[in-house]
Formats: sequence, C-alpha cells, structure tokens
Amino acid sequence: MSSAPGSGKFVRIDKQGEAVVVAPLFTFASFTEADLVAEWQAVQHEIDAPGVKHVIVDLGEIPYFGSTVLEWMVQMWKRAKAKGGSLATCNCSKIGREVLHAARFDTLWGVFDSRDEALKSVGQTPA
Amino acid sequence: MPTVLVVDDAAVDRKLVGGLLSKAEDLRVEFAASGTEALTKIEEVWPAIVVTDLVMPGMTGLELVQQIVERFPRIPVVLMTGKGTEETAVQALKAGAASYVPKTALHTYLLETIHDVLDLFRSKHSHERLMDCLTRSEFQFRMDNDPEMIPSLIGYVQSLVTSAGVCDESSVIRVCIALEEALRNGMFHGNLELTSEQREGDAEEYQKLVADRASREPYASRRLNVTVRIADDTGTFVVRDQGPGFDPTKLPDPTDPENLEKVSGRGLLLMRTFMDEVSFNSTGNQVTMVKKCPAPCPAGEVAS
Repeated sequence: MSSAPGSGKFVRIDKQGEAVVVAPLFTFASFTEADLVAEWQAVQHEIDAPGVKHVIVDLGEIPYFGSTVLEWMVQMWKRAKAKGGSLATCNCSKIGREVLHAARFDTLWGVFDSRDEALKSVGQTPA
Repeated sequence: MPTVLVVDDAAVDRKLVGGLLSKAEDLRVEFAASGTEALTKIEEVWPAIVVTDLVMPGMTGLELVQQIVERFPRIPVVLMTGKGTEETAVQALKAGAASYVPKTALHTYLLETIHDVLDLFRSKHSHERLMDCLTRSEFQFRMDNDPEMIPSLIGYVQSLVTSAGVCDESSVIRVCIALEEALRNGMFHGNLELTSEQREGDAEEYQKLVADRASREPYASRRLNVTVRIADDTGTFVVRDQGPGFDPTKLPDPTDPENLEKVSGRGLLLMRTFMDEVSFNSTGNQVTMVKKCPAPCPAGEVAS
C-alpha cells in the first residue's frame, strides 16, 4: 500500500510497503544546506520508522546532482543496511548516472529506469 | 522580410491561415502539407518561424517540433491546437515549442502571437550572435563565507557559460557540478577549516558550526576568491581560499572499497570527473579547473 507521509520544498517522501521512496527536488542553484536540514531530518525519521527496511531514491526530479545528494544517499543506505535492508535508485539522468559511476555507487546500488523496477528489486510490490 | 512556414495537412486550413497572415505586410508566407515536407522546406526557405497543426498523418506536429528543436534550434514553432489536442500541446511545449494558439481563436491571436515570438527570438538570437563573437572574458568574485552565495554564483556562472556558448548544455552542467564542489571545499574545508568528520555528524550541529565559524576569527575575515575566465573554447575556473591549505595527494581515494561507506570526501573526485584539468597550487588552497569544449555549441551551428 502506498502513502504520502511527507512532501517538502526540497524532498518528497512516499512509502511503499517496507520501502521509503525519497525524491530530492533540489539542484545546486536552488538551495543552501541549511535549507535542507529540517527535511533531511524528516527523511531520516521515515527511514527509522518501524516496518521500513529499504530506501528507493527517485532521482527523476533533478537533472543533475553533486556530492550533497551523494552524502544523503550514503547516509540513507547505511540506515537501511543497519535494518537489514538495501538502497536502490531510479529515474536517474545521464549526468546523474555519470556521478553515480564516478563514485562507484553503481556497483553498490541498483540503478533502475523506473520506480516500479526499483521497488521490485527490493521485494516490494509497486502500487 | 521574415518568412512564416505554415504546416497543415488540410488545404482549407492552410488557406485560412494564409489569409490571416496575408494581412500582415511584414511577413512572407510559405506552406507545407506535412511534417516531412516542412523539414525539406525549412532548408529551402529558412523561415523565421513555423506555425504547425498538431494532428497530421505521418509525422505528427509533436514529432515535427522535436525535429525542429533538434535540427534548427533558432527557428521557433507556434502550435495550432484543436479540441482534444491539449495533452499533445503540453508535450510539444515541453519539447520546445514557443507558443500555441487555439484554432478557434486564430483570427484574434495568431498574428499577435507570431509577432511576439519573433520579437523574443530576434532579441535572443541577437544576444547569441553577440556571444558567438566573444573571444575572452574574465570575472572575479571575492566572497565571504556565506553558503547562500554558492547557489547564486553557480547560477550566474551557468548562465554566463551558457550564453558564451563555450560548451553544450550538458557540459555546462558538468562544469557547474565541479565548480560547486570546489566552492564548497574552499569555503567549508578551506576558510572555515571544517573537517569531513564534523560533516558526517549531526546535520543541525554542523550548520551551527558553519554559522559560528563564519562569524568568528580567524575564519570570519577569510575570503573566497573566484575567477571565471572564458576564452574561445576553454573555460578556466580558479577558486582560492585563505585557509591553511591541504595536500590533495593525502586524501583517501573515495572509490576504494574501504572508503565507499564514508559519507563525504567525493568533491575532488567529481571535480576531476567533470573537468578536463584540475590542479592545486603548492600550498593546496587554490584549485584551477579547466574545461575545454572543442566542438562548436549547437547555437553556433545554424546559420541565421
């Protein structure tokens, strides 16, 4: 079952079974890190909630990203791993894939063309 | 005199639009009965603007828009929309169409819309041509340690490099990703001397630390000097902080499997990934990044 626990200015959060789907909405010309702190804490809260194991990062809303988003992703991945879950990404742009590849994260996380594929990869049934 | 290319498979509609446009003494009108014919005609008559129906047999209006945007980016397209084509019109506008006029309101709005779009593109084209003539420019910024200035500077450089036509759109984004990393490194690690370990702690505490150091000596009076130099096909970006510097050779390799779980430390990696050259001065508080784009940018490829 899908629900929408939160949608802020910089990130949208959905829940799908045991997975939290996090969609960053910011690019570098639109935010400062201080702007993100409150919403980042909300993301952490959702991942730490009971019944949540996996994180899907939907990158479809941002055509590009740098180390700030990578840092978020590593932190989310570590939280999911601590609960026996995993992280997968989806809807990544060409440049976004270059960023993931440069950091070698494409060897650690699934990179999928759609949210449904990403959800299936962590054993969740898409809505 | 600008030429308007009218594309519609229905002869009666071509006649109707031709009649409307003939009222304007400053426009010449050409016609095409299909998207395929329109593409051929564009290369023959080099219209200033294309006005097209959306629903046509063979190549649709949406496909025609996509082709024109890709092959003739300096020619604007105006859509003529009918009932039931709203969704396609939205897609065509997203694909790059300049405007639209409902078929039921052609009499009222078509000429006005064509003139508005032509004026807009003339101004844009003129600016692009001027930028094509740009051989060298240099900007220098001296910034205090206010993180809010980073997105502003990135946004400015993005528009500067785009309008100068140094490289294509995706390369501009790569430049901006690298520049953002360099600015963050210089401001947070250089001037404010914040460590990766501090960054990996509580996000709120880290932001407090940033604000505290930005207002306290010796950090507060340090500045970030940024130079953006554009010359022909090369962009050079120099970021110099006033911190103690560091030895880039001592940084751990973030792609080493042992380091993949580390939260931070990927800024320099992204700078090296997206720039052609990255070098530091001997004290490690100045990075120089070079982006070379030998291929001509799309805006320079099409004859006016």
